[in-house]
Parts: sequence; structure tokens; C-alpha cells
Amino acid sequence: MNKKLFTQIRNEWRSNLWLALELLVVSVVMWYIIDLLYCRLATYMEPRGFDTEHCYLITMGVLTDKSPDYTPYSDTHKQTDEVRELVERLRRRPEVEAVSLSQNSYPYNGSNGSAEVDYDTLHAPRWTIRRIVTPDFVRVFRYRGARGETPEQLAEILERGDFLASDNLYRKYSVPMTSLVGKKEFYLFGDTAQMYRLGAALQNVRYDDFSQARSSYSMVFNMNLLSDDWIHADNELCVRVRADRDQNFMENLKADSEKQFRIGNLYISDIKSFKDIRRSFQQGETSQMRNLVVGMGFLLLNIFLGLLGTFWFRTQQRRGEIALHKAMGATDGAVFGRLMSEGIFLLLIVTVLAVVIDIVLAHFELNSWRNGTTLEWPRLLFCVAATFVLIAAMIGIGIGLPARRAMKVQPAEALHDE
Amino acid sequence: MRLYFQQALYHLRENPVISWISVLGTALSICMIMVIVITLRVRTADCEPEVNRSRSLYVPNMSYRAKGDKSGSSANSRMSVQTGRECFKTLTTAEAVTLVSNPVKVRVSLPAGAKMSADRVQTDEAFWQVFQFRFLDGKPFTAADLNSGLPRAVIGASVARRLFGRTDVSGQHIELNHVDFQVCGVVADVSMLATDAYAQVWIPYTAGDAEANSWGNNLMGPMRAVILAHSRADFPAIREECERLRQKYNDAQDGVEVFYRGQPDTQFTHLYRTWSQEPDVQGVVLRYVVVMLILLIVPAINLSSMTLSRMRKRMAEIGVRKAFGATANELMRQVFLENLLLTCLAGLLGLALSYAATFVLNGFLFGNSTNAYLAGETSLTAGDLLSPWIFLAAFAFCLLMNLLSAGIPAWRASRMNIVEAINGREG
Repeated sequence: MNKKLFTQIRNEWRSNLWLALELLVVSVVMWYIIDLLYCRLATYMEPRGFDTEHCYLITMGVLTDKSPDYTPYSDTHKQTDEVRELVERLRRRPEVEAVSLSQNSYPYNGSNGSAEVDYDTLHAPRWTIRRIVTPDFVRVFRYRGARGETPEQLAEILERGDFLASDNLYRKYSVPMTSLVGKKEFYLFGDTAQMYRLGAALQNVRYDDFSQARSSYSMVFNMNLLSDDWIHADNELCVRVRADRDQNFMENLKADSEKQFRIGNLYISDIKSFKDIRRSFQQGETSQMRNLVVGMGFLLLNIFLGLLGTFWFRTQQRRGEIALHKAMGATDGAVFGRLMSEGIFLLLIVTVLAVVIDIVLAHFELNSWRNGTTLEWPRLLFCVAATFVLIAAMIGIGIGLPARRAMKVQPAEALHDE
Repeated sequence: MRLYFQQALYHLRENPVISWISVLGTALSICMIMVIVITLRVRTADCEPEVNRSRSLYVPNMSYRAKGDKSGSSANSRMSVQTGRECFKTLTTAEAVTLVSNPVKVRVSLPAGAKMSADRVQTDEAFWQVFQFRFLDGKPFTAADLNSGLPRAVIGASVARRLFGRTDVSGQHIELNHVDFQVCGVVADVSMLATDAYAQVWIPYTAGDAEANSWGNNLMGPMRAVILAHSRADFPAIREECERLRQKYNDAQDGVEVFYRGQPDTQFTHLYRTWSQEPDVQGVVLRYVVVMLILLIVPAINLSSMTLSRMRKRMAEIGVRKAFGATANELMRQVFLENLLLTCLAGLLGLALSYAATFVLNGFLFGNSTNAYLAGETSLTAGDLLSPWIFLAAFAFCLLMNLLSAGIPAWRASRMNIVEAINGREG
């Protein structure tokens, strides 16, 4: 049986060559796309280290001297005080759970500052994100300690004057930050005049949904320890709303903003939900993924059409032969299976070749990066298998349609001419 | 010629399943390619109000570092009004230079009570020269308005309608973030696809907070610069002058220096620059080429295989034609033309599909992080789509597809041995 199948494939080598060529191109491209999607999705599913559900960002505005309501700032009338008052008033709203001020700190934020965190001879990577925040920030975004500290405990640690750092900060030295908790000999921000204590190691806080936790480095420092100049209307004002009272928060706040939240020159100019911030920050990545899925659909459709066309022809040409086969006692299933195994067998041969190409591509780092490499064997195997299954499914439909037609061949009619 | 077409049509009808498969495959491929071409064109070709994209240079980002710093650490954002004025406004080789802030949401209200939020930019009078807006009423603010910091505003038609219920409102007063402004002109709404000109309210930057809003030794701020050249040929001269001005500016700075990371950008580079990274334009172009090749080649293999199968059925016919003196060239032409008919049919279908796709999937195709917060629309005009350039591109891709898919079958038809062909043996 298998030998016969092989002979048949060889006899039709010319049109099979075209099919094989198409399958090969598609198989490699599909593998590339699936590999990319796999990496993106696997990264997406990693724990984020923060939680933005029920969180909002409030943008503050300040009147200019061109407005009739403007009152100039002085020693007794400071913007800092207006901002603090706004925070207090927000905190008093019953639906609000926590309010924080910060600079370049909230998640899904394109604006970042970097920090130096040095301990002995250990240095944090250059892309360590500096989060200067009021202690409630860790409650707003529900940061977690690597040893299971709750957001409330982390806020207390910040209040105490200690700083927090993501657990991976010294990954290149294989020193987990948890082992340095409580150590007082840290130098921050390149300032060698003062030492700080590490209060807790954080579960790695990811930069966004498409950055891996292992390569998202960050440190958190209490803004209140710095001078008052740090607190101003350009700060990020973030709010967490109680989960059970998160209805129309933005509308209600906007409605009240003129009456309750105009404080001197300060007013609320915009409110955004983190759901929107997250979506728009990552629109580039998400639309790229969408495009890739469309591209994958296109390739699969082409395979389907190609196989459908070729096997339509083939069953037409082989009408007599199939009829004879049936006349000699082959069942419908046997006819169907024979055509189908022709396609699958072809795909098997092509896949061997495709895997070689895939490995070469991965070796030369032309595919997606994850965990710091492009060639991970389990990932490669998984993606090759997924490619095979998807293409096989298309073969199933593409050959299935003409094969079903072939099954219905009536030997007497088809062989009538003979 | 006519005979070829008749014959081709006959063969198409003779085997409907195969014909449909070929047409569908080609149409899909042309559709996907044309969607890419159209989206790219909308972002890069001249269209109102960005009618001068092809002779504009862009400086959206600014970076500064400690003088002579080689460690790679720098601060990056947009530029301050001062930097823009001294490094770009003073260019003598350019026709015009404008400084534009990012669109920011402001509260627009009438003393009578109507209010809304709108996207506002702060700019200068040259803005109205670099970009060509359609004024429905009034006129742009002038250099004199800018110099004396007069509170003048140009507003978009939809803002005017929302607040006043009409568009002839120049001379009326509105409040922007609680500050009084006088409307001096009303323009037709701008699509967000015009990323550099887009806003709903435009004011002179001296009447806003652009100058006060600076940091980093007054080097950085909210502005970006758009430089309009007399022609593309002046680009090198402008770049040279920018570099001279930059050095002069840096000489006056104390301990810090600004640098541009390869800017000013042409429109295409500008499109692919993200944050403060230098865009890999070659890589972007290569990626487009690879994607288009894949989109062409996979269906072409399909078509080749099917054309070949069809030819095999017609072997006897081709043999007879050859026996009666048809030359190899003639046969090749026949196969090409027959196939071209099919490809063009499919191409038309594909182009129609791609138009439908750009309209139906507008948000899907044009939504990005830059415009996600803005209140405008990413609307397309008929002019964007129905340009002869688009048709030409679609036809070129059809020809290419035809060449790819009919090349081998045509070549084989021309080489066929007469005797074997008529006897029905494979050559």
C-alpha cells in the first residue's frame, strides 16, 4: 500500500513539485508567524507585577496669568499645597480606595527616567526604571513583594524611608534582591553622600504587556522624602476605585470637578481610565499581531485553494482509475484515505525540509526573541507542530472536497467509455 | 487579439471551479497588497492639508547630553520654543519653518455655558504656510498676533458647530481652559491621518503655555519643527545648515549639548521613528518587500500549478497550432495574454475589495498609539483612494503576478514537441 502510494506521488511529481514548493514556502512563513505569536502570547501571560483594574489617571491643569481667576504663587500660596489638597479631597470620596502622586511611574507609560542602584560592586542595568512615588502608589497599582508582602506592607516600608527594587535588578550577577533585603549600604541616583536601605524586593514589575518580567528592571522611592519642589501639577495623579463602586467614576468626577476640585489655580483637566491607557499604549503591538493573524489566514486560504484546485483536477483525471479501484472492491473510505494520505505524506516530506530551514533561521537570529534567545528547542518543536497541524487541517479540507466527490464515482458510469 | 480573449473566456467558463479558485486567489493577493499600498500612501503622499509632505523635513524629537558624553545616557523629548527658534526658525535655506506643539486636550467653553473638550496645538503663523487648510470663515492668525501674544484661535468646523451651531463664527469669543480667546478663523475638519497638521483648535504659542513649559536648561519643551524646503533638492543644504546652527547653539550652552539622532527626517522616516530611537529605514523597506513578495509568490505558485494543469489538457491544441506554423514567441504571448485577462479580472475584484477593506476596517488599519486619545476621525477622502497612482500600482502588481504565475507554463508551451504534444504524451 505504502509503496504504491509512493509510486503514485512520484508519477505525479510535476504537479506535486508545485504543491511541495508552495507547502514549503507557507510552512516556513507560518512557522515564523506562529513563533512570533507564541512569544508575544507567552510574554503576555506572564504575571505583570501590577494591577490596573479600576485605576484612573487624572491630569491636572494650572491657570495661567492670562486667566482672570489666576492668583500669583508666593511663599504662602504654593502649588504644592494645592496639589496636596486635591489629593486629600479625592481621598475623601467614598468610592476611592487609594490616591497617589508620582513621576514617570505609572504602568504603560512612554515617559521614563532611569536610576542607578549600586551595592558594593554590583550595579543595576542602565535601563532600570526610576519610580518616584508617594507611598500609596503601591496600593493603587497593587505591587507585591517577592516574599509575599502585601501592597499595604510595601506602602509602610516606603513610608519608613526604605526603597523597593524589583527582584531581578542584579540578575547578571545571579544575586536575587531578596537576599539583600534590609541591607543599608545602597547608593541611589549616583549620589555617594547618602546610603539607603532596601526595604523589600518586588515581584518584577513589567514595563508593559509585551515586555518580559525578566528584563523589566525598576526601583521605587518615596517622593515625600525629597523636597517639596517634586510635588507639582505635572505629576501623575493616579486613583484606585473600590471594585464594587467603579461605576461612572469618570462622569461623576467630571461633573463635580468645577465645584469641588477647583483649588486656587489648580483644576482637573482630563481623566483617563487605565483600560484606555493600556490599549492605546500597546496599539502598535496589538495591530501588528492582528496583521500577522490576517496574514496567516491568507496563507492558509491559499493552501486550501491550491490543494482544492490540484486535487480537483487530479480526481477528474483519475476518474477511470478510481472507478476501477472501486470495481475491484475498494470501499469509499479506502478511496478517500488514499487521496488524503497523498497530501499528508507530501506535507511530511516538506516539513522535514522546512524544519531544517527554520533551525537555520533561528540560528541566525532572524525570528523572535524570548528569554534572551531565538533558538529554544521546546519552543521550536511546539511551533513546528502547530504549523503542521494547521496546514494539515487545510489539506484535510482542500483534498476532502474533491475526494468526497471521487468517492461518489459510479464504476459502471465512469468505465462506460472503456 | 480578439480571438485570444474569446478563447480565454471559453476556457475560463469550461472549468468553473478551477477558474474561481484562480480568480479568488489572485484577487485576495491583490487586495492584501493594495491595502498595504493604500495605507502607506495615505500616510506618505501629499494630501490636504499636508500638501507639502514631499518637500518637508521633520524634527519631532530632541535629545541632549552632557557635552562630549559617550556613555549613551541622554534626555529625550520634544524641543523648547527657544531651541526651535534658534536651531530651526533661523534657517535661511528653507522656504518656511513652523514650530508645533503636540495636540493636548483642552476644555473649550462659551460664557453662555456650552462646553466640550477638544485637541489643541500651539503654533506660529508659518504653520498656515507649511500646511494648506481650507478656511470656511475668517483667516489664520498672523505674525503680528504671534509677536504680541494675542489670544486668537482657529477652530475646526465640528468644534464651531458643536458650540455655536454654525461655522461663520470668526470674531466670537471662546474660553480655552478658562482663558478668553477670540476666534479668527474656522477650517474644515482635519483627518487624524494628517498627523502633523491635526488638531481641532490652533492658537499662537505665545498665547499659550508653550514657552513656560520647558525643562532641561530650557532646551526641551513641547514643540516639534516642520521645515518646508523650496524643493527636495535643497534637503542636503538644509541638513547642512541645521548642523551648523546646532553647533552654534551648543557653543552657547553651558556643559550640555543638543543632538538630533539623524533628524531632520523625510516623511517616510518620520513615519517610522518611534520615541527617541533612530529608525531602521532600510529594515522597514526590506520588511515591506518581503511581505509583498510572500503575498505575491504563494498565490503565484498556485496559479502556475493550475495553469500548467490546464495547459496539459490543451496539449493537443497547442501541438496543432505549432504544426501549422505558430512560433514559440506567439505561443508564449498567447499564454501570457490569456493569463493576463484572468489576472486583471481578479485584480479589479481585488482592488474593489481593498477599497471596501480600507473603509470598513478604518479603525483597525489606522488606529495607533499616537491618535488613540485624540477626538478626531481618521477619515479618508475619495481623492486618497481614486488617484491614478493607485490604479497604476494595482496594474503593475497584476503584471508582476502574471509574470510570476504564467512564466513557466508559457515557457513550457513554447518548448513543446509537436509530435509528443499531439500524441498526448508529456513533454
